[in-house]
Amino acid sequence: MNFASMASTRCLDAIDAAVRESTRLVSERRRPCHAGASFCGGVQGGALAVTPGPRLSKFSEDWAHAYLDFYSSSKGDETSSSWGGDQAPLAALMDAHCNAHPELALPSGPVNSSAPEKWTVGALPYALNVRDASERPSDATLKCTVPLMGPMLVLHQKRYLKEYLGTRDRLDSVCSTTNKGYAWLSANVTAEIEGKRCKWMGRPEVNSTISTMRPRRGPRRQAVRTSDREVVLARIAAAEDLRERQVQDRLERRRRRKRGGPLVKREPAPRAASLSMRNRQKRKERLNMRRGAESVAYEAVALA
Amino acid sequence: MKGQLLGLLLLCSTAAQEEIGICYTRNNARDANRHTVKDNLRKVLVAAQSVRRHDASLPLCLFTDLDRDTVESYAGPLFRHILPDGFATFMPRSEAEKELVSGASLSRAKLRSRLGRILNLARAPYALTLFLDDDTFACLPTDGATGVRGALRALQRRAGTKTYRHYDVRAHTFAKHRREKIALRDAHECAWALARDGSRLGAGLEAHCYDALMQGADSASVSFHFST
Repeated sequence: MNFASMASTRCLDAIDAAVRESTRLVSERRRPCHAGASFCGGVQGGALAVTPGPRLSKFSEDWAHAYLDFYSSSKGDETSSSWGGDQAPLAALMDAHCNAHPELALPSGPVNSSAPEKWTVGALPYALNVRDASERPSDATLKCTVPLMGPMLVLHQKRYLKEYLGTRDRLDSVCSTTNKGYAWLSANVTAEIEGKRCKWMGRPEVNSTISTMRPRRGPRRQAVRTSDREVVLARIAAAEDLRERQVQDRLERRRRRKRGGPLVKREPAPRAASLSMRNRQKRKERLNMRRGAESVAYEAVALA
Repeated sequence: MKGQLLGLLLLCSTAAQEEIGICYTRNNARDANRHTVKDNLRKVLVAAQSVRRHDASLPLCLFTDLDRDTVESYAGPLFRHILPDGFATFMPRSEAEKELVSGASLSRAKLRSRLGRILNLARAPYALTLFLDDDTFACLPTDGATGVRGALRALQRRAGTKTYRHYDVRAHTFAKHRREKIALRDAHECAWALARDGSRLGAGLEAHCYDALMQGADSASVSFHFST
């Protein structure tokens, strides 16, 4: 084969690959095949964001069957207003679904995720289905337990719509009152917040409350001072390292396979740790972070 | 050739990005004894118009047992797609099921309505469809925010990326296992940390944090994959 024909073959191969790639991208967009770790505890069905495909069809079918089975077997009091509700059957279905497919509970999600029966359920941003607008503080404060991480987009409350049906101004006022809390939050993201209102806004530099509340065991340890930014940067660095190691391992395995050398077993995934272990791990992580803060900062500058 | 292919690819991806929309269900619209069709449609019209008043082009659809002319006589061109309710195609598996879904009482009508709503999910017309109840109201976007469309677009972008795995259904989830509780709880911390680093607080950021935490990523290590 001469160079010209080789070049044209290569060119055709490239075009072919581009077409394949474009088809793959489009089909992935339409029906992504990687499913994520699913929630198992049920959902609020007032707002559902769905992506069509065989898994969604199976989800719909399974829910319909679970719904009918629920009321066929234990009809309960048909005159009760709660009779015919679809949330309880869905919660039971999701629980059974996770038990039937234990891999759904893994962070990596299902192994063969193209199987239609392995549908997955993820979390919807809270702003798209706000049901507790009336219980939220009416001033510009924030509800720490269920914060709105963004402006409220969809108000979902029967009570309001019954009372204010047709009076958009009243419903708009509910929206604007609730969104004052978000506006307050948004304005304070970058500013220093006095007293840090919510726990998740970052812990104080030195956590004094824990040391005063719990009796101290063992010798006094030096307080670790880490800012949120340091935590973020160190985690990024750790993730980058891990990714790099995984790539290297994969390459090494491939090389060995080609050489016909002994197979190297892949390391098993780390098991889920207990809460105390996680806390200990976090503390250790923060200590390491402080030690490696300088190098991490360099890396962050390079990445930025 | 390559240029054409790239153009085609761009066109395909743009078209796919545009395929977002909201669907409502209003079935049994002729079924209730005490209400007229107009009354039955009233709630869903308020809900859909609340979206339409600030977004003139976001596709809206209605699953209903009414015909298009009847709906349009009340709603005008509000809904781009008017689709038959899923209950029309329901096939009972047994006599007991057939008996369960029949009957003229209000409770049985509710059961038929819910069943139709569940079955409608399988026929979502958009690449990302948000099914909303008819007792919802879309708030006007606040300054600088992109409203429901922006949130849906952010979710759809997530579905198209390879970095995170995809979900077939998204809803407000209830935590059962510890992992879920941690993900729901730590998502606030994650979103806050990313917002402090310059990302914009919003639905996209929140979804990003939920997904990252559920899929085992560290709350902060994923910040580079998030674009505002």
